[in-house]
Amino acid sequence: MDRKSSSSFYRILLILLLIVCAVLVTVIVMSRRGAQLPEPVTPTPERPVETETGTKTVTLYFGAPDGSGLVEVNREMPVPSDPSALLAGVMRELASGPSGKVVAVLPSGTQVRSAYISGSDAYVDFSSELKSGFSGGSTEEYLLIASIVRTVAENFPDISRVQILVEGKTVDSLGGHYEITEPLPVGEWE
Amino acid sequence: MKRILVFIVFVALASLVVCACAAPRAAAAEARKAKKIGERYYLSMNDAALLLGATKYWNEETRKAVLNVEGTRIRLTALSPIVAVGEKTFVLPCPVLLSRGVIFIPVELFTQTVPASMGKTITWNQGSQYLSVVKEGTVPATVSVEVSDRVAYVTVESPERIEYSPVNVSNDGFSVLLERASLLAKPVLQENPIVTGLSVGRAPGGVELRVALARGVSGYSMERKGGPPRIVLGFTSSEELLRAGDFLPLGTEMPRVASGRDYKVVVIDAGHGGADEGIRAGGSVEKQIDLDVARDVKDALSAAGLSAVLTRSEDAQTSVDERAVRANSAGGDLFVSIHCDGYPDSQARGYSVEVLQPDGLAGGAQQGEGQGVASAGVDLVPWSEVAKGHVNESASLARYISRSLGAVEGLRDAGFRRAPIVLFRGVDMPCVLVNCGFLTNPGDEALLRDGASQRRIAGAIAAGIVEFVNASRR
Repeated sequence: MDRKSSSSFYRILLILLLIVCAVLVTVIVMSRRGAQLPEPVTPTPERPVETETGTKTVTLYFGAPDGSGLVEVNREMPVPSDPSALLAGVMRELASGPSGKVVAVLPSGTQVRSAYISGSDAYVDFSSELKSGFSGGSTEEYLLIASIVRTVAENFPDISRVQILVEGKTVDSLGGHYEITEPLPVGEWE
Repeated sequence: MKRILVFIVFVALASLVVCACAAPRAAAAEARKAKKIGERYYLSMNDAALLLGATKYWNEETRKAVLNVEGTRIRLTALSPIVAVGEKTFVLPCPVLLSRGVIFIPVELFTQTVPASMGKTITWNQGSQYLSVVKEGTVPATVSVEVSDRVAYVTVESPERIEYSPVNVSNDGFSVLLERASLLAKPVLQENPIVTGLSVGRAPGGVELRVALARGVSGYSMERKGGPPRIVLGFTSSEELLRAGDFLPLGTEMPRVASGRDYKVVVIDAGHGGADEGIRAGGSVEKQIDLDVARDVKDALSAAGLSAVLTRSEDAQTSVDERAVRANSAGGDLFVSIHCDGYPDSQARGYSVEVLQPDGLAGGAQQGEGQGVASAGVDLVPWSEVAKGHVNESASLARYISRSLGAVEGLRDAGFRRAPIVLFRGVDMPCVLVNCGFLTNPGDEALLRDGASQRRIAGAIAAGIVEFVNASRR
């Protein structure tokens, strides 16, 4: 009887251990994956140049003043650790609009809610202004979509399709001209 | 028991190691132009980071810069020729320059040091001053163009043989797929009467080289040449050379099955309507202009002996599906949608035509078929896909309309576009969308608002349709 109870005690202990291990591993994995974890608040000492935050020149596409196509603009931005956060950062730069003589094609007030990469597909989720704030013609609508697709393609060469989402959902079209329900192949939006 | 515990610890550690080793993403294949300073060539720090897909760091006080390429650090110091790549140190033939806060790196870092120490293939073309990183597993190629007044040759040159396949050999959107190739530098094109544009796009399995041709270009040739392996694409506008047999006729998008096809009923679709006003600019409202022009097109077609039907004849909101049902049930053979364009900048002006794009690269070949799901001998095509079965006829009709509109005084040709147009969903016939001009441009708006010029625009659209119908009968 003694033996029996000790063996079941070990079994319970083993299960508990397994659960503890699983939780630990999950926590560690999550903390590695989660990019938005706040930075520790401990003051950072003067660091050598190698460990400063790096910057990257990214390429954004805005509308040409005469509507004939897109214009390339380079912008400097800090580089976050993972590609999805970089994608979100690049899209925020695009949504913030251009300075100078090129045309903002995203409706003003449009926010980037989130962005993520899955295989060779990129998903960019915008706030409702992307659709509700749009009131232009087909050239404007085309260049709006093309500016998003090409900006993603240019900065993420491994991406072959871009899915545009509004408030987390797919939409039929932004202004009634072009269908964007499905992920958009990057080669078709020049 | 012990063994089990050891095993658990091992599994936990192993999963940690797996997480830590998540592979970094591959860098982009890039080409960047060098700058000549004095007698030597340099690449700016920005361009260097773009070329290598690197993250860059710069410390102004110590004047030290770092390029982090997929974990390998290239450390540079302004005004010093010494550079460290990973653990190794190299001496460049001249120092890194610092000019107005911009760092310029001698090209030798990229042509010698980086290839030797990091195993990257980088090519340097002194003629064009371009440095390019060759993507692993691809063959680098350069594109050049030679033009005389009757013939143009586009040459793709590469150190190894590149397999190629034509994607589109028509006058509209000529393109060739270059398998496993990566193109160095952007092709430079001088103004000439034959090739009007060259562009390169990524495509499954390689890159797609697109050659935009002037309207009169009627023949092409394709051949391989030796020396360094070359693919030479020839184009000509000379009927004489075409007859001599050195060139093949380009499939222009005139209807290929011209015989037999008789288009009788043309559906004219006025955009917007009711609460959906379309663009409102300069005192004009798009829905009204669309309807005015659509009515005029209908009248002009009737006068030419064709039967024309409107999808809406009054100011009423009409859904995409309602329009498709009306068009299909009227037995329509052609569908032409009339719209106006709009843009945030008033400089944008001119008319344009739009058609659906074929699906994928191979899509251009499917004429009159659509993607059917075979079921007991009946082809079931999804409602949303039916319009795609007519892409080639649509493009041809669009060309005729665009050409005809070119004759309207004051209206500029703003182009031809292929896109996934929502408005054609369910329309089972060739479809073209015509943007008659930009209401956001004062000149265009004045034209579109005026009754007489509306009739001229409508007349030109109708004339283009009639020409297409007549050409198809032949």
